[in-house]
Amino acid sequence: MLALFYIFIGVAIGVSVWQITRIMNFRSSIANDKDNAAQGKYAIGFLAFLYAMMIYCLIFMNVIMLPESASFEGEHDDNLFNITFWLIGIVQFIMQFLIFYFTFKYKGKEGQKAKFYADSHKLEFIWTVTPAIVLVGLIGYGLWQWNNVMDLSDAEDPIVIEVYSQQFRWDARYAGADNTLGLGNVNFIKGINTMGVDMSDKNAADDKQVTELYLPKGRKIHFKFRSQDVLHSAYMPHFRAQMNCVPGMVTEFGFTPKYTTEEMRNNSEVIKKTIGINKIRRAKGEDPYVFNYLLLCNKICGASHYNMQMKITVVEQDEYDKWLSEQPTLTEVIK
Amino acid sequence: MSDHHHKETFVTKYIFSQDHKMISKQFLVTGMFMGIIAVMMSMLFRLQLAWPDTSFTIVEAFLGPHQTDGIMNPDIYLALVTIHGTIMVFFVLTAGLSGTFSNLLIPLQIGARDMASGFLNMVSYWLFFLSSIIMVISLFVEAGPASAGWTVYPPLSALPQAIPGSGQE
Repeated sequence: MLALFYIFIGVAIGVSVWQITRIMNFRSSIANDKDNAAQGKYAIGFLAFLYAMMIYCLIFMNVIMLPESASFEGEHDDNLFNITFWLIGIVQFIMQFLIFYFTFKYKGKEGQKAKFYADSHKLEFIWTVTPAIVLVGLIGYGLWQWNNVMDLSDAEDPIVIEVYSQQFRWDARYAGADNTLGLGNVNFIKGINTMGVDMSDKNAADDKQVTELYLPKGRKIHFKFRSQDVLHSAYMPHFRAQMNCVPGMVTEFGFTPKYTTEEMRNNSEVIKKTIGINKIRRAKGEDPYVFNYLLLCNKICGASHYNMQMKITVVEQDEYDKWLSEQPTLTEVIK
Repeated sequence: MSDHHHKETFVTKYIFSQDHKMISKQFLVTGMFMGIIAVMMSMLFRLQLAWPDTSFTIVEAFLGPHQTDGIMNPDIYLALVTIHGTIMVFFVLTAGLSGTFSNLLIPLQIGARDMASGFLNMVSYWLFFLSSIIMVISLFVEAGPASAGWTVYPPLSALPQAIPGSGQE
């Protein structure tokens, strides 16, 4: 496989150098019918190649797609993705055919002149208005979804969680019994107070700092993000959620987990993926992989950016309550 | 016509030329050269991406101290991605589109004899050439090349302690 890769690079470089030197010889020659006929056939050949690649990728690359959305809000992202994908896919399929088939059909011929066709208002109207309507539909759905995720004003009893990023780790803070986070600022960072919580704020007293996220299934989670040093991006791909963590400001969004971690492990897509991953890991002699939701950093933030992640566990409400009650409050930890 | 032209030497015709056609060729060649360098980089880091734990003699040969047993170190991976992106955007696309095509075609299309200021056009190319060299030399700087991504978002790109290669003056 590798040798093939090297050979491919070698051939590609060789062909480009050869082609560049050949251009110099073409400066005075003009294409004749034979050249045009050959080029026309190449166009059809390329069309076949393109279709073959497209179909191959659609079928066999499907395995790298994420499993179904693990949040209720994320279903709309998937919808939007699928609608956009099929729209573009169909247009792409038709357009490629037209481009290459017409290149073949109307190839240059001796003595044949191109017809001058100035404009057709009807045609231009159609190809302007149709995409405009389609785009307005897509963007409208997108905007609706944006508000759906960002506007938490009418959320019923959301759980407020702060996610704090720094090179190269995540910390989280639950708002505690009052469901209100104490103020935080980088200036308060001292010793064990690694998230810089203002302990003189009475809301901070019952806050709970953790290194792993536990979320109850079916409850709206209101995330607030802060960053200590550089830009990070909190990325929870299974929930179709991502938000920048910006030093000096608080960003937020919300979603509602749909499946517990256990339920997701029994999802047929996840099972298939896990088997595939474990086949590779076994061959390398590594421990088997078990599915877990992850919070990843999705913005280059330094040398260990690739390794900046936090485990997310979605459980039923009672299990969540039990776990949360076991976590110490900040007053207990920071005396 | 040719009587009106003053005599061009090799230097004024091919090197410090003020003719938009020659300048566009200079941009084209420089852009192509930078393109080859950038594509080489992408080959290296994609090799790493595709076979993360395979040792490559080519990585060993090109990256010297930035690798361990033919496997790329994480910081040089980010550096290569950054320099590759920067070169592709500012030294290949810019050189190819505005440097080559606009320079060559616009005066011809609008029927002008040349660009409004041939001298500035020449200076523009030579500054571009100089910055291309600096860009490539930055790979060999002791503190490491810029690694904060081609988008150069501060504070990551501005603070020396944030990532190797950042905040250098």
